[in-house]
Amino acid sequence: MIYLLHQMLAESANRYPEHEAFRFQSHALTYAELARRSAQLARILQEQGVRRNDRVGVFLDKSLETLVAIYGIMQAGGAYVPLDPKSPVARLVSIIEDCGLNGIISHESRAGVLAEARQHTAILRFVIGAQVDAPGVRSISWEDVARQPAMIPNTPRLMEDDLAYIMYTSGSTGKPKGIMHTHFSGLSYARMSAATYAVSHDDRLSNHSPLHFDMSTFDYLTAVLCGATTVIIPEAHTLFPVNLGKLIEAERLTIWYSVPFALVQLLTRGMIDERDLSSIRWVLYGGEPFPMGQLRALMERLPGARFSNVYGPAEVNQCTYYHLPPPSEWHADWTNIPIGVIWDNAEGLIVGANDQEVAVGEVGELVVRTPTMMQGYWQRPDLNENAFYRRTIFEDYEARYYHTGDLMRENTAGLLEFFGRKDHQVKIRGFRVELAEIDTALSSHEAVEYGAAFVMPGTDGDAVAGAVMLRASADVTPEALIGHVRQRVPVYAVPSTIYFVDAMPRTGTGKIDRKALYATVQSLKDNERKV
Amino acid sequence: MITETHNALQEFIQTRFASGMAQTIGFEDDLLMSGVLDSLNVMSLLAFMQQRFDVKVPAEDVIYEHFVTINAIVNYLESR
Repeated sequence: MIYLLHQMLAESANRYPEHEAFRFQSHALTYAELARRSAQLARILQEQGVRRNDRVGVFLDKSLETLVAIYGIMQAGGAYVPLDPKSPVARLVSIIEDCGLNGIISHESRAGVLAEARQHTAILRFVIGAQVDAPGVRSISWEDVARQPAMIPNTPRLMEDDLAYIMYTSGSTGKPKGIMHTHFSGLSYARMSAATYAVSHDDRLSNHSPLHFDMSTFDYLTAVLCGATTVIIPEAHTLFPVNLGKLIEAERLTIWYSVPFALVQLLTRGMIDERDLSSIRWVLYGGEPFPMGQLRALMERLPGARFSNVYGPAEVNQCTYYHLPPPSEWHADWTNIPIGVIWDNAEGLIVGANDQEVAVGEVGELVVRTPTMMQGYWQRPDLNENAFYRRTIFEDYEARYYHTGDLMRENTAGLLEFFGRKDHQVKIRGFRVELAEIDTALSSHEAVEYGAAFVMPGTDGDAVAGAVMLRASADVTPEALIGHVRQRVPVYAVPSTIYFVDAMPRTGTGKIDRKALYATVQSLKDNERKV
Repeated sequence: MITETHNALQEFIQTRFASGMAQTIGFEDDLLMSGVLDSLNVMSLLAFMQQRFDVKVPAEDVIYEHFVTINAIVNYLESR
């Protein structure tokens, strides 16, 4: 009987006690060790006053302690709240205050940042893993935790609707918002993703995503449900694809899951022709569209692996799946790989104005209801009002759907196709322009490694501009690129200017950062003026 | 011994990747864990090394062992 996330760990520790649960560099935790260490931590957390639905921060670089922290917090009855270890102090303070974090689990390397944060908020009362010298803050070392008996004296009574974790994401106003997931939504995701990708205890998963990125739930929750082994990819390996390729080979990973960016880097700079990557049986990618040429090249390089496009905002974990056919069967009219179909136990609708369903084949916003959906945003009734679409199905039955903000179309094969963000839609001289469409057009040029479009405010109104990163030793003029795009998008969407950049600015989670791209281009222009 | 190479790399990394950060990047500071280097910055750094020192780093040498600190980058450059 499993209806809480940490019951997965108890079950796997029972079935596979000596099996490695997580690996990080040369260290590993077996399921029995993870169960023991997280129980020790849960005991300390209860002594510090953590009770059902209390939030506890996890402020750690990728490490084995991360897993001890999240399972310890849940066993104590609390909800874990990932904090970006590279977060600036102001954002850290903002989340501590918003979420009411009395306690944070961390590492000695973060003691200075936590002490600084503590000067701006009195809410923080205890820190585990770092010595924070501030009045009113109790510091508890990992050694103290290790001395505890591995027995929780007051096993809390929890229900599946209790909070399990809260993931913070940027809000459109700049104030971070907390996505509340319950044991029910988290466990539903673990079960459904395990079934969709046939994860077993023999699998060796990659953990590419940091904890504060929602893709980590596959590596940290689904893997534990299945008793699989997850290999935590060190940050350094994510920056250096040659190292990454060697790690995948040495660890014999069987399932890979990341944003496309990491795979493109691996393909183009990872020297994978010198690697034996035949252990990989399934490649999952999500977060943004995969440039099709590079995806085809990667699939040809990994002929033994299945490839799947994973889609779902953090608010729903995941809600569709698409297992890709071989490139020879791709449709000529695809501009991107389809998102696929809504997964089991869920329903999706494509809606237009006033949340009315559009005709089949028309583009609209995807709204979805799935057991993996969040409870709502933490203490944000204003956002929750708009985030959900409520539809009365019967007189006595109202269904709640999440507004994804993603524009989709159902094609003639019944597959959802992605058409960009509702809120990144821009208007140029009154015409609607989808920037993602221009990205795809730019990126399809043979000289271009990656291209992205953004809006450039001008005296004559907004204009579309493009920035491209060229392939090594490629040479092309801006005029030729504009000509290439002009053949692929409506005339009003053709970039007026093309800038060449060394690299694409990306957000912490690997998506194109259009604001930063604009800033980069501005600085290029300023330099030109000085010259 | 602190060389011109050390100083040039430090200035580039500090101004391009660490502007707004309170601390100065030391020669032995871990560039990876501190968040100074990300995959975007690695590309810019490679372009800078080619332009400033006329060293084109082959793909097989773009590994974290050569980029973990400023000293590591200098050692790599001297080995070329």
